[in-house]
Amino acid sequence: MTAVKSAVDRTARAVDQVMDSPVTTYVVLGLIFVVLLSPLVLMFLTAFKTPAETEVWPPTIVPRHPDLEAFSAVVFGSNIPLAIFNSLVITISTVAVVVVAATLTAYGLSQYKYRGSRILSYALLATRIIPPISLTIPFFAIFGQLGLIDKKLALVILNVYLNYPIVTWLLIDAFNRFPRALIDSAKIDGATRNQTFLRIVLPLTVTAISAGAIITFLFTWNEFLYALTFTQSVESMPLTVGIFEFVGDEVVEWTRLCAVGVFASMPSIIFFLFAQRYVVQGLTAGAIKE
Amino acid sequence: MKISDEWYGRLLSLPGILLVFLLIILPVFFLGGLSLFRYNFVSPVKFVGLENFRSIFSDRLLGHALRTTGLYTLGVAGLSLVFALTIAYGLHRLGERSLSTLYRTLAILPFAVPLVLSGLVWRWLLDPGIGVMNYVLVRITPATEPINIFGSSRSAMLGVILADAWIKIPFMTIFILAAMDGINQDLYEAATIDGASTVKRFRYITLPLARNGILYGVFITAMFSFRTIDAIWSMTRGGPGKATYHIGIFILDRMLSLMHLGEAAVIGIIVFGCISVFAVGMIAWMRREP
Repeated sequence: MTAVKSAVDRTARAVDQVMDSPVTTYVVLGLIFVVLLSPLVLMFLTAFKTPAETEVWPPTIVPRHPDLEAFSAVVFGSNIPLAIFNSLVITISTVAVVVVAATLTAYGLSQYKYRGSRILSYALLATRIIPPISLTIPFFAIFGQLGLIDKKLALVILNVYLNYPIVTWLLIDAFNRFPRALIDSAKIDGATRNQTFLRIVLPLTVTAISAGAIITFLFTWNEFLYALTFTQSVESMPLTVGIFEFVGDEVVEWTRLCAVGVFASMPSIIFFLFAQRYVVQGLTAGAIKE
Repeated sequence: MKISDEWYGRLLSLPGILLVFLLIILPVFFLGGLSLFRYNFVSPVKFVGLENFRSIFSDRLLGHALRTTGLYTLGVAGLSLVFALTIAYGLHRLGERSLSTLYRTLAILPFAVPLVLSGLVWRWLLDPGIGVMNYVLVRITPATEPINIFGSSRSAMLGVILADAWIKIPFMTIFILAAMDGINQDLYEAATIDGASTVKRFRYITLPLARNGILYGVFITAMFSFRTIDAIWSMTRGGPGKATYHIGIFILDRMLSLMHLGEAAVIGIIVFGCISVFAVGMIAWMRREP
Protein backbone atom coordinates (compact mmCIF):
# COMPACT_ATOMS: atom_id res chain seq x y z
CA MET A 1 0.00 0.00 0.00
CA THR A 2 2.66 2.48 1.07
CA ALA A 3 4.70 1.59 -2.03
CA VAL A 4 1.76 2.47 -4.30
CA LYS A 5 1.11 5.64 -2.39
CA SER A 6 4.71 6.81 -2.60
CA ALA A 7 4.76 6.00 -6.34
CA VAL A 8 1.67 8.14 -6.84
CA ASP A 9 3.28 10.91 -4.81
CA ARG A 10 6.44 10.73 -6.88
CA THR A 11 4.47 10.92 -10.12
CA ALA A 12 2.48 13.89 -8.84
CA ARG A 13 5.69 15.63 -7.87
CA ALA A 14 7.20 14.91 -11.27
CA VAL A 15 4.10 16.31 -12.99
CA ASP A 16 4.33 19.41 -10.81
CA GLN A 17 7.97 19.82 -11.70
CA VAL A 18 7.25 19.60 -15.42
CA MET A 19 4.33 22.02 -15.09
CA ASP A 20 6.49 24.38 -13.08
CA SER A 21 9.37 24.48 -15.51
CA PRO A 22 9.66 27.58 -17.70
CA VAL A 23 10.49 25.29 -20.63
CA THR A 24 6.93 23.95 -20.49
CA THR A 25 5.59 27.49 -20.60
CA TYR A 26 7.77 28.37 -23.59
CA VAL A 27 6.68 25.25 -25.46
CA VAL A 28 2.94 25.53 -24.70
CA LEU A 29 2.88 29.21 -25.65
CA GLY A 30 4.92 28.46 -28.75
CA LEU A 31 2.41 25.85 -29.90
CA ILE A 32 -0.51 28.21 -29.28
CA PHE A 33 1.26 30.93 -31.26
CA VAL A 34 1.71 28.61 -34.24
CA VAL A 35 -2.08 28.25 -34.43
CA LEU A 36 -2.80 31.86 -33.48
CA LEU A 37 -0.40 33.43 -35.97
CA SER A 38 -0.86 31.06 -38.91
CA PRO A 39 -3.72 33.06 -40.51
CA LEU A 40 -1.56 36.19 -40.42
CA VAL A 41 1.47 34.40 -41.86
CA LEU A 42 -0.62 32.73 -44.58
CA MET A 43 -2.11 36.10 -45.53
CA PHE A 44 1.36 37.62 -45.94
CA LEU A 45 2.65 34.64 -47.94
CA THR A 46 -0.39 34.46 -50.21
CA ALA A 47 0.04 38.09 -51.22
CA PHE A 48 3.15 36.88 -53.09
CA LYS A 49 1.43 33.98 -54.89
CA THR A 50 0.11 33.93 -58.41
CA PRO A 51 -3.71 33.80 -58.71
CA ALA A 52 -3.47 30.29 -60.20
CA GLU A 53 -1.59 29.00 -57.18
CA THR A 54 -4.48 29.91 -54.86
CA GLU A 55 -6.76 27.53 -56.76
CA VAL A 56 -4.81 24.31 -56.20
CA TRP A 57 -5.67 21.46 -53.84
CA PRO A 58 -3.91 20.65 -51.58
CA PRO A 59 -3.26 24.33 -50.91
CA THR A 60 0.36 25.48 -50.85
CA ILE A 61 1.88 27.37 -47.93
CA VAL A 62 5.02 29.01 -49.32
CA PRO A 63 4.58 30.59 -52.78
CA ARG A 64 6.16 28.43 -55.50
CA HIS A 65 6.81 31.31 -57.86
CA PRO A 66 6.80 34.38 -55.65
CA ASP A 67 5.94 37.58 -57.52
CA LEU A 68 4.61 41.06 -56.90
CA GLU A 69 1.69 40.81 -59.33
CA ALA A 70 -0.89 41.18 -56.55
CA PHE A 71 0.83 44.23 -55.09
CA SER A 72 1.28 45.96 -58.44
CA ALA A 73 -2.35 45.23 -59.37
CA VAL A 74 -3.49 46.70 -56.07
CA VAL A 75 -1.22 49.75 -56.20
CA PHE A 76 -1.52 50.62 -59.90
CA GLY A 77 -4.79 49.09 -61.01
CA SER A 78 -7.33 49.58 -58.24
CA ASN A 79 -8.98 52.12 -55.98
CA ILE A 80 -7.02 50.88 -52.96
CA PRO A 81 -4.45 53.75 -52.95
CA LEU A 82 -7.36 56.18 -52.78
CA ALA A 83 -8.90 54.12 -49.98
CA ILE A 84 -5.61 54.17 -48.06
CA PHE A 85 -5.46 57.94 -48.55
CA ASN A 86 -9.04 58.26 -47.25
CA SER A 87 -8.25 56.08 -44.26
CA LEU A 88 -5.22 58.21 -43.47
CA VAL A 89 -7.15 61.49 -43.77
CA ILE A 90 -9.99 60.22 -41.57
CA THR A 91 -7.68 58.61 -39.01
CA ILE A 92 -5.20 61.48 -38.67
CA SER A 93 -7.97 64.11 -38.43
CA THR A 94 -9.72 62.04 -35.78
CA VAL A 95 -6.53 61.56 -33.77
CA ALA A 96 -5.76 65.31 -33.91
CA VAL A 97 -9.23 66.34 -32.73
CA VAL A 98 -9.45 63.64 -30.06
CA VAL A 99 -5.99 64.28 -28.60
CA VAL A 100 -6.42 68.06 -28.30
CA ALA A 101 -10.00 67.94 -27.03
CA ALA A 102 -9.45 65.04 -24.64
CA THR A 103 -6.27 66.56 -23.18
CA LEU A 104 -8.00 69.86 -22.40
CA THR A 105 -11.09 68.17 -21.00
CA ALA A 106 -9.17 65.70 -18.88
CA TYR A 107 -6.85 68.37 -17.47
CA GLY A 108 -9.77 70.58 -16.50
CA LEU A 109 -11.65 67.71 -14.91
CA SER A 110 -8.64 66.38 -13.07
CA GLN A 111 -6.80 69.47 -11.79
CA TYR A 112 -9.39 72.25 -11.51
CA LYS A 113 -12.38 70.53 -9.99
CA TYR A 114 -15.71 72.29 -9.99
CA ARG A 115 -19.19 71.36 -8.85
CA GLY A 116 -20.26 68.35 -10.87
CA SER A 117 -16.91 67.63 -12.52
CA ARG A 118 -16.71 64.19 -10.90
CA ILE A 119 -20.16 63.27 -12.14
CA LEU A 120 -19.24 64.50 -15.62
CA SER A 121 -16.17 62.23 -15.68
CA TYR A 122 -18.30 59.21 -14.82
CA ALA A 123 -20.97 60.25 -17.29
CA LEU A 124 -18.32 60.28 -20.01
CA LEU A 125 -17.34 56.73 -19.13
CA ALA A 126 -20.97 55.64 -19.00
CA THR A 127 -21.53 56.73 -22.61
CA ARG A 128 -19.45 53.70 -23.58
CA ILE A 129 -22.48 51.55 -22.84
CA ILE A 130 -24.56 53.13 -25.61
CA PRO A 131 -24.11 50.75 -28.56
CA PRO A 132 -22.75 52.52 -31.65
CA ILE A 133 -24.85 50.22 -33.81
CA SER A 134 -28.05 51.62 -32.26
CA LEU A 135 -26.92 55.17 -33.00
CA THR A 136 -26.28 54.29 -36.65
CA ILE A 137 -29.98 54.87 -37.29
CA PRO A 138 -30.36 58.40 -35.86
CA PHE A 139 -26.97 59.40 -37.33
CA PHE A 140 -28.16 58.15 -40.71
CA ALA A 141 -31.29 60.31 -40.47
CA ILE A 142 -29.42 63.39 -39.13
CA PHE A 143 -26.50 63.18 -41.57
CA GLY A 144 -28.98 62.58 -44.38
CA GLN A 145 -30.66 65.89 -43.55
CA LEU A 146 -27.31 67.70 -43.24
CA GLY A 147 -25.98 66.30 -46.53
CA LEU A 148 -23.08 64.57 -44.76
CA ILE A 149 -23.69 61.10 -46.19
CA ASP A 150 -20.72 59.94 -48.26
CA LYS A 151 -18.42 62.62 -46.82
CA LYS A 152 -15.16 61.90 -45.01
CA LEU A 153 -16.17 64.57 -42.49
CA ALA A 154 -19.03 62.35 -41.32
CA LEU A 155 -16.59 59.57 -40.45
CA VAL A 156 -14.30 61.98 -38.61
CA ILE A 157 -17.23 63.19 -36.50
CA LEU A 158 -18.34 59.63 -35.75
CA ASN A 159 -14.86 58.40 -34.85
CA VAL A 160 -14.38 61.39 -32.57
CA TYR A 161 -17.60 60.38 -30.80
CA LEU A 162 -16.32 56.79 -30.50
CA ASN A 163 -12.86 57.63 -29.11
CA TYR A 164 -13.09 60.92 -27.22
CA PRO A 165 -14.68 59.46 -24.05
CA ILE A 166 -12.14 56.62 -23.63
CA VAL A 167 -9.13 58.85 -24.28
CA THR A 168 -10.46 61.49 -21.87
CA TRP A 169 -10.89 58.82 -19.22
CA LEU A 170 -7.35 57.56 -19.81
CA LEU A 171 -5.93 61.08 -19.47
CA ILE A 172 -7.96 61.95 -16.36
CA ASP A 173 -6.26 58.96 -14.75
CA ALA A 174 -2.83 60.14 -15.94
CA PHE A 175 -3.35 63.73 -14.71
CA ASN A 176 -4.71 62.47 -11.38
CA ARG A 177 -1.44 60.64 -10.81
CA PHE A 178 0.63 63.69 -11.73
CA PRO A 179 2.61 64.89 -8.66
CA ARG A 180 0.66 67.75 -7.15
CA ALA A 181 3.87 69.20 -5.63
CA LEU A 182 5.26 70.04 -9.09
CA ILE A 183 2.16 72.07 -9.94
CA ASP A 184 2.23 73.85 -6.58
CA SER A 185 5.90 74.75 -6.82
CA ALA A 186 5.40 76.13 -10.33
CA LYS A 187 2.62 78.29 -8.93
CA ILE A 188 4.91 79.56 -6.15
CA ASP A 189 7.57 80.37 -8.73
CA GLY A 190 5.03 82.62 -10.41
CA ALA A 191 4.07 80.50 -13.42
CA THR A 192 0.58 81.13 -14.76
CA ARG A 193 -1.87 78.25 -15.04
CA ASN A 194 -1.36 78.09 -18.79
CA GLN A 195 2.42 78.01 -18.41
CA THR A 196 2.19 75.27 -15.79
CA PHE A 197 0.01 73.20 -18.09
CA LEU A 198 2.04 73.69 -21.26
CA ARG A 199 5.58 73.69 -19.87
CA ILE A 200 5.40 71.36 -16.88
CA VAL A 201 2.43 69.03 -17.04
CA LEU A 202 2.25 68.31 -20.78
CA PRO A 203 5.90 67.31 -21.29
CA LEU A 204 5.67 64.88 -18.37
CA THR A 205 2.40 63.25 -19.43
CA VAL A 206 3.37 62.82 -23.05
CA THR A 207 3.42 59.01 -22.62
CA ALA A 208 -0.24 58.83 -21.68
CA ILE A 209 -1.17 61.29 -24.43
CA SER A 210 0.70 59.16 -26.98
CA ALA A 211 -1.10 56.07 -25.70
CA GLY A 212 -4.41 57.86 -26.28
CA ALA A 213 -3.32 58.90 -29.78
CA ILE A 214 -2.25 55.37 -30.68
CA ILE A 215 -5.41 53.60 -29.55
CA THR A 216 -7.50 56.24 -31.35
CA PHE A 217 -5.44 55.54 -34.47
CA LEU A 218 -5.97 51.77 -34.16
CA PHE A 219 -9.70 51.95 -33.53
CA THR A 220 -10.32 54.49 -36.29
CA TRP A 221 -8.15 52.70 -38.84
CA ASN A 222 -10.00 49.42 -38.16
CA GLU A 223 -13.51 50.90 -37.85
CA PHE A 224 -16.01 49.25 -40.21
CA LEU A 225 -19.64 49.74 -39.17
CA TYR A 226 -19.88 53.50 -39.77
CA ALA A 227 -17.53 53.30 -42.76
CA LEU A 228 -19.93 50.84 -44.38
CA THR A 229 -23.08 52.77 -43.50
CA PHE A 230 -21.94 56.30 -44.32
CA THR A 231 -19.89 55.94 -47.50
CA GLN A 232 -21.08 55.08 -50.99
CA SER A 233 -18.43 56.28 -53.45
CA VAL A 234 -14.72 55.54 -53.72
CA GLU A 235 -14.02 59.23 -53.01
CA SER A 236 -14.88 58.79 -49.35
CA MET A 237 -14.46 55.05 -48.73
CA PRO A 238 -11.79 54.04 -46.22
CA LEU A 239 -9.76 50.86 -46.55
CA THR A 240 -12.04 48.62 -44.45
CA VAL A 241 -14.79 49.10 -47.04
CA GLY A 242 -12.56 49.56 -50.09
CA ILE A 243 -11.19 46.05 -49.57
CA PHE A 244 -14.47 44.63 -50.89
CA GLU A 245 -13.38 45.68 -54.39
CA PHE A 246 -11.82 42.20 -54.64
CA VAL A 247 -14.79 40.33 -53.19
CA GLY A 248 -17.28 39.44 -55.90
CA ASP A 249 -20.49 37.46 -55.59
CA GLU A 250 -18.90 34.46 -57.27
CA VAL A 251 -15.14 34.98 -57.30
CA VAL A 252 -12.83 36.45 -54.70
CA GLU A 253 -9.38 37.55 -55.85
CA TRP A 254 -7.50 36.13 -52.90
CA THR A 255 -3.95 37.18 -53.77
CA ARG A 256 -5.03 40.82 -54.17
CA LEU A 257 -7.18 40.64 -51.07
CA CYS A 258 -4.19 39.39 -49.11
CA ALA A 259 -2.03 42.18 -50.51
CA VAL A 260 -4.61 44.72 -49.28
CA GLY A 261 -4.64 42.84 -45.99
CA VAL A 262 -0.91 43.49 -45.66
CA PHE A 263 -1.52 47.24 -46.11
CA ALA A 264 -4.50 47.19 -43.75
CA SER A 265 -2.70 45.50 -40.87
CA MET A 266 0.68 47.19 -41.35
CA PRO A 267 0.15 50.35 -39.24
CA SER A 268 -1.08 48.35 -36.26
CA ILE A 269 1.73 45.81 -36.57
CA ILE A 270 4.25 48.66 -36.56
CA PHE A 271 2.66 50.10 -33.41
CA PHE A 272 2.71 46.68 -31.73
CA LEU A 273 6.39 46.18 -32.58
CA PHE A 274 7.66 49.59 -31.58
CA ALA A 275 5.11 51.04 -29.16
CA GLN A 276 3.52 48.02 -27.54
CA ARG A 277 3.73 49.55 -24.06
CA TYR A 278 1.59 52.48 -25.22
CA VAL A 279 -1.02 50.23 -26.80
CA VAL A 280 -1.36 48.18 -23.63
CA GLN A 281 -1.45 51.27 -21.43
CA GLY A 282 -4.08 52.88 -23.65
CA LEU A 283 -6.36 49.85 -23.73
CA THR A 284 -6.20 48.98 -20.05
CA ALA A 285 -6.33 52.48 -18.53
CA GLY A 286 -10.09 52.51 -18.18
CA ALA A 287 -10.17 48.94 -16.95
CA ILE A 288 -7.90 48.90 -13.95
CA LYS A 289 -9.79 51.35 -11.80
CA GLU A 290 -13.46 50.61 -11.86
CA MET B 1 -8.93 89.63 -15.95
CA LYS B 2 -8.32 86.81 -13.51
CA ILE B 3 -10.78 83.94 -13.45
CA SER B 4 -11.16 81.50 -10.56
CA ASP B 5 -9.63 78.02 -10.63
CA GLU B 6 -13.10 76.52 -10.90
CA TRP B 7 -13.90 78.58 -13.97
CA TYR B 8 -10.53 77.67 -15.44
CA GLY B 9 -11.51 74.01 -15.08
CA ARG B 10 -14.90 74.63 -16.69
CA LEU B 11 -13.33 76.57 -19.52
CA LEU B 12 -10.94 73.73 -20.30
CA SER B 13 -13.36 70.85 -20.04
CA LEU B 14 -16.86 72.01 -20.88
CA PRO B 15 -16.49 72.73 -24.63
CA GLY B 16 -15.39 69.17 -25.34
CA ILE B 17 -17.93 67.64 -23.01
CA LEU B 18 -20.76 69.66 -24.53
CA LEU B 19 -19.68 68.63 -28.00
CA VAL B 20 -19.53 64.95 -27.17
CA PHE B 21 -22.80 64.97 -25.28
CA LEU B 22 -24.37 66.71 -28.25
CA LEU B 23 -23.02 63.88 -30.41
CA ILE B 24 -24.45 61.26 -28.07
CA ILE B 25 -27.53 62.62 -26.33
CA LEU B 26 -29.07 64.17 -29.42
CA PRO B 27 -28.89 60.89 -31.38
CA VAL B 28 -30.24 58.95 -28.39
CA PHE B 29 -33.33 61.17 -28.36
CA PHE B 30 -33.55 60.87 -32.12
CA LEU B 31 -33.42 57.09 -31.76
CA GLY B 32 -36.41 57.19 -29.42
CA GLY B 33 -38.24 59.63 -31.68
CA LEU B 34 -37.59 57.74 -34.89
CA SER B 35 -39.12 54.59 -33.44
CA LEU B 36 -42.50 56.36 -33.44
CA PHE B 37 -42.40 57.50 -37.06
CA ARG B 38 -42.59 56.09 -40.53
CA TYR B 39 -39.31 57.39 -41.94
CA ASN B 40 -38.09 55.98 -45.21
CA PHE B 41 -36.78 58.84 -47.41
CA VAL B 42 -39.55 58.05 -49.94
CA SER B 43 -42.97 58.81 -48.50
CA PRO B 44 -43.47 61.80 -46.18
CA VAL B 45 -42.48 61.31 -42.55
CA LYS B 46 -45.54 60.22 -40.59
CA PHE B 47 -46.23 59.67 -36.90
CA VAL B 48 -47.38 56.08 -36.43
CA GLY B 49 -47.33 55.66 -32.64
CA LEU B 50 -46.30 52.19 -31.56
CA GLU B 51 -46.84 50.67 -35.01
CA ASN B 52 -43.09 49.99 -35.50
CA PHE B 53 -42.87 48.26 -32.12
CA ARG B 54 -45.86 46.11 -33.00
CA SER B 55 -44.38 45.02 -36.33
CA ILE B 56 -40.90 44.26 -34.92
CA PHE B 57 -42.20 42.38 -31.87
CA SER B 58 -44.53 40.31 -34.03
CA ASP B 59 -41.68 39.52 -36.43
CA ARG B 60 -40.35 36.02 -35.79
CA LEU B 61 -36.95 37.22 -36.97
CA LEU B 62 -36.51 39.19 -33.72
CA GLY B 63 -36.48 36.11 -31.50
CA HIS B 64 -34.27 34.31 -33.97
CA ALA B 65 -31.80 37.22 -34.22
CA LEU B 66 -31.63 37.52 -30.42
CA ARG B 67 -30.92 33.79 -30.03
CA THR B 68 -28.29 33.93 -32.77
CA THR B 69 -26.67 36.97 -31.18
CA GLY B 70 -26.65 35.31 -27.75
CA LEU B 71 -25.03 32.17 -29.13
CA TYR B 72 -22.48 34.21 -31.06
CA THR B 73 -21.62 36.33 -28.01
CA LEU B 74 -21.27 33.28 -25.76
CA GLY B 75 -19.16 31.50 -28.36
CA VAL B 76 -16.77 34.40 -28.94
CA ALA B 77 -16.42 35.30 -25.25
CA GLY B 78 -16.05 31.65 -24.16
CA LEU B 79 -13.51 30.68 -26.81
CA SER B 80 -11.52 33.86 -26.23
CA LEU B 81 -11.54 33.35 -22.46
CA VAL B 82 -10.07 29.85 -22.67
CA PHE B 83 -7.22 30.96 -24.91
CA ALA B 84 -6.66 34.36 -23.30
CA LEU B 85 -6.44 32.87 -19.80
CA THR B 86 -3.91 30.28 -20.95
CA ILE B 87 -1.80 32.77 -22.88
CA ALA B 88 -1.95 35.46 -20.19
CA TYR B 89 -1.00 33.01 -17.43
CA GLY B 90 1.90 31.70 -19.52
CA LEU B 91 3.20 35.22 -20.23
CA HIS B 92 2.67 36.17 -16.61
CA ARG B 93 4.76 33.22 -15.45
CA LEU B 94 7.53 34.04 -17.90
CA GLY B 95 7.69 37.48 -16.30
CA GLU B 96 10.92 39.13 -17.36
CA ARG B 97 12.68 35.99 -18.57
CA SER B 98 14.46 36.03 -21.90
CA LEU B 99 12.25 36.28 -25.01
CA SER B 100 9.34 37.55 -22.91
CA THR B 101 9.12 40.79 -24.93
CA LEU B 102 8.98 38.83 -28.17
CA TYR B 103 6.36 36.49 -26.73
CA ARG B 104 4.23 39.39 -25.54
CA THR B 105 4.36 40.95 -29.01
CA LEU B 106 3.47 37.70 -30.76
CA ALA B 107 0.52 37.20 -28.43
CA ILE B 108 -1.19 40.46 -29.41
CA LEU B 109 -0.28 40.47 -33.11
CA PRO B 110 -3.63 39.21 -34.52
CA PHE B 111 -5.26 42.24 -32.93
CA ALA B 112 -3.54 44.28 -35.68
CA VAL B 113 -5.93 42.83 -38.26
CA PRO B 114 -9.20 44.72 -38.78
CA LEU B 115 -12.11 42.48 -37.74
CA VAL B 116 -13.77 42.81 -41.14
CA LEU B 117 -10.57 41.53 -42.76
CA SER B 118 -10.38 38.66 -40.28
CA GLY B 119 -13.77 37.58 -41.59
CA LEU B 120 -12.47 37.51 -45.16
CA VAL B 121 -9.25 35.71 -44.21
CA TRP B 122 -11.11 33.00 -42.26
CA ARG B 123 -13.65 32.61 -45.03
CA TRP B 124 -10.71 31.81 -47.28
CA LEU B 125 -8.91 29.55 -44.76
CA LEU B 126 -12.09 27.52 -44.22
CA ASP B 127 -13.09 27.35 -47.89
CA PRO B 128 -13.78 23.71 -48.90
CA GLY B 129 -12.13 24.17 -52.30
CA ILE B 130 -8.92 26.04 -51.51
CA GLY B 131 -8.73 26.65 -47.74
CA VAL B 132 -5.64 25.67 -45.76
CA MET B 133 -7.54 25.14 -42.49
CA ASN B 134 -9.99 22.86 -44.21
CA TYR B 135 -7.11 20.88 -45.65
CA VAL B 136 -5.60 20.55 -42.17
CA LEU B 137 -8.97 19.35 -40.84
CA VAL B 138 -9.13 16.68 -43.51
CA ARG B 139 -5.62 15.52 -42.59
CA ILE B 140 -5.96 15.43 -38.81
CA THR B 141 -9.60 14.45 -38.31
CA PRO B 142 -11.57 11.40 -39.48
CA ALA B 143 -13.21 13.59 -42.14
CA THR B 144 -12.21 12.42 -45.61
CA GLU B 145 -13.81 15.21 -47.64
CA PRO B 146 -13.33 18.96 -47.14
CA ILE B 147 -16.15 20.26 -44.99
CA ASN B 148 -18.36 22.97 -46.43
CA ILE B 149 -18.45 24.96 -43.20
CA PHE B 150 -20.66 27.71 -44.58
CA GLY B 151 -23.03 25.19 -46.14
CA SER B 152 -24.76 24.10 -42.95
CA SER B 153 -26.30 26.30 -40.27
CA ARG B 154 -24.52 24.92 -37.23
CA SER B 155 -21.00 24.93 -38.65
CA ALA B 156 -21.51 28.37 -40.24
CA MET B 157 -22.01 29.76 -36.75
CA LEU B 158 -18.73 28.14 -35.68
CA GLY B 159 -17.00 29.77 -38.66
CA VAL B 160 -18.06 33.33 -37.80
CA ILE B 161 -17.27 32.76 -34.11
CA LEU B 162 -13.72 31.66 -35.04
CA ALA B 163 -13.08 34.81 -37.09
CA ASP B 164 -14.26 37.09 -34.29
CA ALA B 165 -12.54 35.15 -31.48
CA TRP B 166 -9.25 35.27 -33.38
CA ILE B 167 -9.18 39.06 -32.91
CA LYS B 168 -10.67 38.95 -29.39
CA ILE B 169 -8.13 36.48 -27.94
CA PRO B 170 -5.25 38.99 -28.01
CA PHE B 171 -7.61 41.79 -26.96
CA MET B 172 -8.75 39.86 -23.89
CA THR B 173 -5.20 38.68 -23.17
CA ILE B 174 -4.11 42.32 -22.80
CA PHE B 175 -6.69 42.95 -20.04
CA ILE B 176 -6.10 39.69 -18.19
CA LEU B 177 -2.32 39.96 -18.37
CA ALA B 178 -2.40 43.53 -17.03
CA ALA B 179 -4.42 42.31 -14.05
CA MET B 180 -2.13 39.32 -13.45
CA ASP B 181 1.00 41.46 -13.65
CA GLY B 182 -0.44 43.61 -10.89
CA ILE B 183 -0.21 40.69 -8.44
CA ASN B 184 2.53 40.91 -5.83
CA GLN B 185 5.31 38.40 -6.70
CA ASP B 186 5.98 37.73 -2.98
CA LEU B 187 2.72 35.80 -2.79
CA TYR B 188 3.95 33.30 -5.38
CA GLU B 189 7.28 32.90 -3.63
CA ALA B 190 5.62 32.26 -0.30
CA ALA B 191 3.28 29.71 -1.89
CA THR B 192 6.14 27.94 -3.64
CA ILE B 193 8.10 27.67 -0.39
CA ASP B 194 4.99 26.18 1.20
CA GLY B 195 4.97 23.59 -1.57
CA ALA B 196 1.95 24.77 -3.59
CA SER B 197 1.96 23.36 -7.14
CA THR B 198 1.59 25.62 -10.16
CA VAL B 199 -2.02 24.51 -10.58
CA LYS B 200 -2.74 25.45 -6.98
CA ARG B 201 -0.99 28.79 -7.32
CA PHE B 202 -3.10 29.54 -10.40
CA ARG B 203 -6.27 28.45 -8.63
CA TYR B 204 -5.71 30.19 -5.28
CA ILE B 205 -3.55 33.21 -6.11
CA THR B 206 -3.77 34.20 -9.77
CA LEU B 207 -7.47 33.58 -10.43
CA PRO B 208 -8.92 35.33 -7.36
CA LEU B 209 -6.52 38.28 -7.49
CA ALA B 210 -6.91 38.88 -11.22
CA ARG B 211 -10.66 38.27 -11.01
CA ASN B 212 -11.82 41.79 -11.84
CA GLY B 213 -9.42 42.13 -14.76
CA ILE B 214 -10.69 38.83 -16.15
CA LEU B 215 -14.32 39.82 -15.67
CA TYR B 216 -13.68 43.18 -17.32
CA GLY B 217 -12.02 41.51 -20.30
CA VAL B 218 -14.96 39.13 -20.70
CA PHE B 219 -17.43 41.99 -20.30
CA ILE B 220 -15.81 44.20 -22.97
CA THR B 221 -15.44 41.28 -25.38
CA ALA B 222 -19.02 40.14 -24.91
CA MET B 223 -20.32 43.70 -25.29
CA PHE B 224 -18.39 44.14 -28.55
CA SER B 225 -19.62 40.83 -29.93
CA PHE B 226 -23.20 41.65 -29.05
CA ARG B 227 -23.22 44.81 -31.14
CA THR B 228 -20.92 43.90 -34.02
CA ILE B 229 -21.40 43.27 -37.71
CA ASP B 230 -17.83 43.24 -39.08
CA ALA B 231 -16.93 39.53 -39.30
CA ILE B 232 -20.45 38.36 -40.11
CA TRP B 233 -20.81 40.94 -42.84
CA SER B 234 -17.65 39.81 -44.59
CA MET B 235 -18.35 36.08 -44.14
CA THR B 236 -22.02 35.22 -44.46
CA ARG B 237 -24.16 38.41 -44.27
CA GLY B 238 -26.40 36.45 -41.93
CA GLY B 239 -26.66 33.26 -43.99
CA PRO B 240 -26.85 30.48 -44.97
CA GLY B 241 -30.59 30.92 -44.72
CA LYS B 242 -30.66 32.96 -41.52
CA ALA B 243 -28.18 30.78 -39.60
CA THR B 244 -25.85 33.63 -38.60
CA TYR B 245 -28.51 36.35 -38.53
CA HIS B 246 -26.94 38.57 -35.85
CA ILE B 247 -29.06 41.45 -34.55
CA GLY B 248 -26.59 43.90 -36.10
CA ILE B 249 -27.40 42.47 -39.53
CA PHE B 250 -31.10 42.73 -38.65
CA ILE B 251 -30.65 46.48 -38.03
CA LEU B 252 -28.69 47.06 -41.23
CA ASP B 253 -31.25 45.12 -43.29
CA ARG B 254 -34.14 47.23 -42.01
CA MET B 255 -32.17 50.44 -42.40
CA LEU B 256 -30.22 50.05 -45.65
CA SER B 257 -32.11 47.43 -47.67
CA LEU B 258 -35.68 48.17 -46.63
CA MET B 259 -34.98 51.85 -45.81
CA HIS B 260 -37.27 51.54 -42.82
CA LEU B 261 -35.58 53.71 -40.20
CA GLY B 262 -38.49 53.58 -37.76
CA GLU B 263 -38.41 49.80 -37.47
CA ALA B 264 -34.60 49.78 -37.40
CA ALA B 265 -34.79 52.24 -34.48
CA VAL B 266 -36.95 49.80 -32.52
CA ILE B 267 -34.29 47.09 -32.93
CA GLY B 268 -31.65 49.64 -31.94
CA ILE B 269 -33.56 50.33 -28.73
CA ILE B 270 -33.76 46.60 -28.00
CA VAL B 271 -29.97 46.23 -28.40
CA PHE B 272 -29.46 49.27 -26.16
CA GLY B 273 -31.73 47.72 -23.53
CA CYS B 274 -29.99 44.34 -23.60
CA ILE B 275 -26.54 45.88 -23.26
CA SER B 276 -27.62 48.16 -20.39
CA VAL B 277 -29.03 45.22 -18.44
CA PHE B 278 -25.88 43.21 -19.14
CA ALA B 279 -23.61 46.10 -18.07
CA VAL B 280 -25.47 46.70 -14.80
CA GLY B 281 -25.31 42.98 -14.00
CA MET B 282 -21.62 42.82 -14.80
CA ILE B 283 -20.73 45.89 -12.72
CA ALA B 284 -22.68 44.45 -9.78
CA TRP B 285 -20.78 41.19 -10.14
CA MET B 286 -17.40 42.96 -10.18
CA ARG B 287 -18.34 45.05 -7.13
CA ARG B 288 -19.35 41.98 -5.11
CA GLU B 289 -16.67 40.70 -2.76
CA PRO B 290 -15.19 37.45 -4.09
